[in-house]
Order: sequence, then C-alpha cells, then structure tokens
Amino acid sequence: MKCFVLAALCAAAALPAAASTMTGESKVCPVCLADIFHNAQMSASVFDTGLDFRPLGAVVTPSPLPVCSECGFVVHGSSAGPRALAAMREITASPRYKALSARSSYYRLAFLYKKTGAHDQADIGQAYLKASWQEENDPVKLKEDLGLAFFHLNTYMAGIAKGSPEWPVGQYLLAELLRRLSNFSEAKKILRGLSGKQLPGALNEFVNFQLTLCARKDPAPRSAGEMRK
Amino acid sequence: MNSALFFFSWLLSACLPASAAGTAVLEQLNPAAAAEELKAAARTGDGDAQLAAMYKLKAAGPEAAVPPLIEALKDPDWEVREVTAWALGHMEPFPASGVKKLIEAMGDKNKAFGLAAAEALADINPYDDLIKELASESAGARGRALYVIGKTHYHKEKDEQKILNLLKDKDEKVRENAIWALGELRMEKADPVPALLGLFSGAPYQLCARVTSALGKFPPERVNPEIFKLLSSPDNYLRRCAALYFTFTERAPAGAAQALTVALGDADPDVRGAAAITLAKLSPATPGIVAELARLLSDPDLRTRTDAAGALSRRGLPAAEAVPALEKALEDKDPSARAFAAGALAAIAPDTRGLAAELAAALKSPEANDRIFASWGLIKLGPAAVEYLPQLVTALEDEEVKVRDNAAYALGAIGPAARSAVPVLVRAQGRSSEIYGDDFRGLLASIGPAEKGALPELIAALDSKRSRMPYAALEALAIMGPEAGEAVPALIGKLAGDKHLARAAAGALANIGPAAVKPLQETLRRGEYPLSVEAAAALARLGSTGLPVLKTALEDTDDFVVMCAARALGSMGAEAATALQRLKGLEQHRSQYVRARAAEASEKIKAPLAQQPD
Repeated sequence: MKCFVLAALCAAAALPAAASTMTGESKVCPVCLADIFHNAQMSASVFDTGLDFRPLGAVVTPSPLPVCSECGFVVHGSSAGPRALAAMREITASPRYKALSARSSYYRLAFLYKKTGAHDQADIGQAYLKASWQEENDPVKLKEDLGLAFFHLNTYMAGIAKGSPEWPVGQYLLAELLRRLSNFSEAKKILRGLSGKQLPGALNEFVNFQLTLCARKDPAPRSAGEMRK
Repeated sequence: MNSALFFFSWLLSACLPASAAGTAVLEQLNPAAAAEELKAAARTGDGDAQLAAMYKLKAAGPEAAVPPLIEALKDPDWEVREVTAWALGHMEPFPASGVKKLIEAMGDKNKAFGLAAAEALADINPYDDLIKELASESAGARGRALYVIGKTHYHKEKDEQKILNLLKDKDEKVRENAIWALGELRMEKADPVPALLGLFSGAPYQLCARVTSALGKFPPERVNPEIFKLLSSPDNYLRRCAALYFTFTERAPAGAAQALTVALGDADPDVRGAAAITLAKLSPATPGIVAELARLLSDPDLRTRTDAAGALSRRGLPAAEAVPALEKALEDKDPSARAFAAGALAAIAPDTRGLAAELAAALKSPEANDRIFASWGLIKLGPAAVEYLPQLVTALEDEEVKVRDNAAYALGAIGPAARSAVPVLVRAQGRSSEIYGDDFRGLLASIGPAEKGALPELIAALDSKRSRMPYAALEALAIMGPEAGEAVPALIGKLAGDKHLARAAAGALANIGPAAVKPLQETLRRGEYPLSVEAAAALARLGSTGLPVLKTALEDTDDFVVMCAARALGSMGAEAATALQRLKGLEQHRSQYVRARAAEASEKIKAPLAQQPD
C-alpha cells in the first residue's frame, strides 16, 4: 500500500527543491580493496518528473554509482558477508562481466543483481530502467535496457495480486515501457484497463496522457510538465 | 531493497537526501499526533524523526497542522520550541489566521513562547501580513511585526517609507524596534541615515547606543563622514553619540582613534565616557581611558554601567586602576551591573574575593547578556571556578549557545577537577555548539580522562541520534585510553558504520591498546565488508601492538582477510618493515587482487625506508 500512495504523491507534486551539489568521496572496493574516488550527488533540484518517474531538473539521474577502476566492480550496498564477497569476486572476475565494461554502471549493476541472486525482479528491473537513462543516446542499448526493464518488471508483476495496491502503478509502468518500445497496441490494452479507475495521486492524469501519446504513436520520453502544458 | 518500495525509490534515490519524506506521507495524517512526534524527536535530537514528523504535518495540510504546532511553541524545553519554529516555517501556504496567532503570541506573558513565535514568523516570512500589521491600532502588534520584518532581513522597496515613518511612532517600543529593523534591512531607495542621525539630538545613552548600533550596520562610506562631522558639533548629545558609533562598527577608519582621543578631553563628561568606551576597543593603550570607564561604573544609567564594565574587560587595556571601582560595582543593586563588573574583574583581577560566586549567580539571570558575560568570566577564573561546577554543568543546557559554549570552556579551564562533567560535556555537544573538532578535543584534553563510572553513559552516547554526540563520546573514550576497555565491543560496532565515525572509533581503540587487540583480530577474521577493513586499519593504528596480528592475517585462508591485512600494513609505512618478507611471499598468490594489494603495501612500506639516511 505504502509505496503506491507515495508514488502517486511524488508524481503529482513537485518534489522539494534543494541545492544541486556533488561531492568527492573515497571508498574502498569490496572486491579488490582498491581505493575508489567517486563524485556523489549530495542534493539536487527537481522541477519535473518523467512519465517513467525519472526526476528532471538540476539533478543527475540516476544517482552516480562508484565504480572500481581496478576490477570494474559497481559498488552497491553498505556491507557484505564473506559468502557475498566471494560471489562478487567471482562474478567480477568472470569474462562475461568483463565484457560489459563498455556498458553503463546501472546495466552492470543489474547484471550483478542477477548473478548474486540477492535481489528480486523489481530491483533488477529498476536497475535496467536507470540504465536506460544512462544509455538514452544509444538507440540499440536503450532498446535493450527498456526491453530488459520490461521483462523483469513483468516477471515481478506476475506475482502481484490484481487487487494489490501495487498493481495499478506497476501496470502503468509496464505500459510506459511498452510505449517507449513502440509497442503501442499492447500499451493501450494495459492503459485502457486502468482508465476510469480511481488511481492514486495523479496517475489518472498520467494514464490519459499515455493514451494520447499511444494514439499519436509517440515513443519519446515525456514528462509530467509536458502533460500539463 | 524491499521490492514493495521500488517504484518510488527511483525518485527518492535521485533527489531526496533521506527516506523521511517518503515514509512520512504514508502514515495516518493525524496532525496532533505528528506534532507530538515532532516534540519527542526534538527532545531526543533525532533529525530523521524530526524530518519525518514535519513531512507528516505538511501532508496533513497547514490549516490542520499549524494550531497544534503553535501550541507546541509553549513547551518548556527550548529545543522543542526551536524545532517547532523550524517546522512551522515549512507549512506552506501558511494560513493568515496562523500569522495573527503568532503575532499575538509574541506579546504573551510567557516570554519564551513569544520569542519562539517570533522565530517561527521569521522562518515563515509572511511579508504581506506583517506589512499590514504595521498599520494596526495595537502598538504591540506594530512593534512585533517590525521586529519580525527585521529578523527576516527582507522588505519590498515600496514599503521602505512606511517602515521609516515608524521612527516617529507615538509608541516608544515601536520606535525602538524601527531603529533596530532599519539596521537589519538594506534599503535601496530610502536613505534612513539622516533620520537615524536626527535621533541623536537629546538622546539618552540607551537610545544613543541603540541608534549607533543600527548605524553600524550601514555601509561605512555612507555613515563615517557624518560621524566625523558630528564629533566637532557644538551639541553635547551629538558629540556623545558620534563618539560611541565606532564601538558598533567592524572596522574603524583611519583617524577615528585620533578624533576620539581628542573627545576624551571633552568638557562634557558624557562625551568623555562614550569616547573611552569606544577607545577601549579601538586603541586600548590610549592614556586616560581607564579612569573615565571607572567613573562610568557609578553612572545612574544601567546600560552605561554595563557597557563601561564590558569595555574594561577588553584585552590590552591597562585596567588595574579600575579594580577598586569594579569591586565597588560588585555591590551594585542591579544584578546585570554586578554580573558585568564580576566578568570584568575575572579578566583583570581573577583573585578578587567572591568573584566566582557572583558569576555563578549570574548564570541564572533571565538576561542572556548577563549569562553570556558571566560564563565568559568563569573561563577567566580557571580552576578557581571548581566550587561552582554544578552551576556550570547546568549552564551546559542553557538555551543560549554562547552560554553553553562558555560553560564548556570554563569546565576545560578548571582542568582535571572537572572530570565528573565529561559525560555532560559530551551530551552538550549533541545540541548546537560552536565548539568543533580540535577545539573540543583540546577542551577534553585539558580536563583529561573521564571517571570510570562515566563509561556506561559514554558508551550509550555512541548510539545517540544527535549527530555530534557519538563523535564527542568517541573523543572522550579515546582520552580514557586503557580505562575504556569495556567500550571495545561498542567501538568495534562503530567500525562498520559512518566512515568518519569508524575512523574516530579506530582512534579510540588504538588508545585502549592491548585490550583491543583480540577483539579486533576476531573482527578482522570475520572477513566482512567494511568491518574487517576497518578492524585491520584499527590494528594498524595500534602500531607495534597490532603488527603481529596483521602479519599473521597475511596467512589467512580468506583472501579478503589477507587483503585487509596487506592494506593496513601498507598504511603503517616503515613501522611494518618486518612484514615485507611475508608480503613478498604473496607475489605468487593465486588471486590477482591479493597480489596487487601486497605489492602496493610493500611499496608503501619501502618508500619511507628508502628516504631514511644510511
């Protein structure tokens, strides 16, 4: 219940503005123990929201992740036990992971999530969606990111009951991903199922705008600001 | 991550610093309950909980949230009032009824409530409502609105004349607030300087000080030439006010001290007195100042007496000849005058009998300036203030930050006899304080180790929600050294948390010495991130005591433990020279990462060795 109320509220209203600042911080790589110097986002000013809930404004999205320049590990989580560390070392040293070095940090994060098995489909889908923000200028990679985000989110949603409060927001997001992938007919099917229902926050507005975009066969990333113009 | 939270984490992870905003809006929106939560969070100093409660109130809507918050401003705990004022500042759009209530509250018999209401209004800044109040029939409302406008440092150009006109208000308090507000506002169009200078004519000392204080905030190039002219005016009042002006400016221009030295020979005693007060700041070695100031100590005007005593405590002033006058001032019927005289004596003649008692008594004064000056005087008394340790400990909870900080420094100046106060000093760091890092360390160092009985409280403080308290506790534990052995498990627990806290915990563990070695070794061998990395770093800080453990860890079966040890040995530099052989043995290790960390450590150990003379 909780997440959907908030998702709706966040989408409906502008988030509190804050100064946009980055700060250098040092970390130790949990895999190889090399020192990592990383620029972290301390605060940001958000003025608008993408239809995929991407924060827009004076903000770096997604939040930059520390990446080890020695072993290529994408640092995430604040602690890890011996078993998890051993698994991370093995995955990071694998040829498959090394082959991903040209991909975005969130794409690699999604890969790590999948391989360690410590994260669910929702987390993996989220990482791929963020990868799509990082790789938005490369059409091939973008399509793959959106496709993988859809796949994992869809798998997650298969386990969610229709009456669950998570269901409408999840369905909405699947429709958004389908629209971005130019699968307008499937997107419309989902959106029509949501249309007219009492949805949390501004989701009704989002659904109606999505239907307009599908009718226009518009696969571009769009924002709440454009919707309200 | 809990998958149920994933939808909005896209938003929150990118743009909000804490999850407080998120969780807040999910709860039942009961403003009274949220206001209670806010009060509770203020008492514990839990910033996250304060933020969460504030967001709940925000989500409940300002109309519903403002009344319970205004009620909370009456709380006897100043921290609750401070946090509530801050939360009120976030209620947008702020209802006009709330503004009215807060303006009324400023005139409440409960002074603390009134001040908190003013703080809240300054945060809210309901400018248009405040400007409307300036035309109120009630002098109290006009004065209070002016005060808040001054506090916000904000005004609109179109209202400048309206504010300026209040210098001529029929009510004295309104006029006083107008003078003060004009000093705080930077007017673009109107020029308040001539009107303010006009008030000098016939002004008693109090008013003179009020106006010169406001003028001191204007650009010096605008005011200074006028002041120089007035110094040679035939009007005694104008000369006196002009002589006082440079007391309130950050920097005096060339020629000011010379002109004031001339004024020190003025035929009018009030002009001489004002010149002496200012010269004590600008040029304390000028002959004749002290005698003038000593004379002012028996002036009928209270502000003149306290200003003179304050001036006598200025550094560099040869004030010994004023001691008899100051001692006499200790018998003044007014407590403020006694507090200021005692403060000055503490700086000039700290051995004066009864001084500590007078200063300690002034710590209870309702006047913040008395408490500030008295607590400052107690610093000067050093160990002689030990008799009033309980009063100083109480002053650590004063609502004025300067009083709290002065009390802390006074405890530091007492030295080891104040060791029973260390836990309270640690607690005081959890409130806002201007004593940071090295200053706090120095203060604790001058007191020395806390009593062993303080350990449970210091250990508990490591988990405080008040952000600076765990650091303060770590500093205190570090000073206790081996005596703090019981704190080892709690300190090891801190190694896995915040990086800065982990570093301070490692420092405390290093000071504890051998008793920390075995638990640190066990922690290192757990092979956990980041706990084992920090445990190895703490062992390195133990120097030769930790070295054998780190060398042994190079042979551990867990690669992660080996890397932690190698990394820590590298940080020890030449001190770890005996580990070089074992590190060399790792050159053939199956893991490339172990090889890399071992090679890196060897380099770091060898580098200083290479620089040592043969």
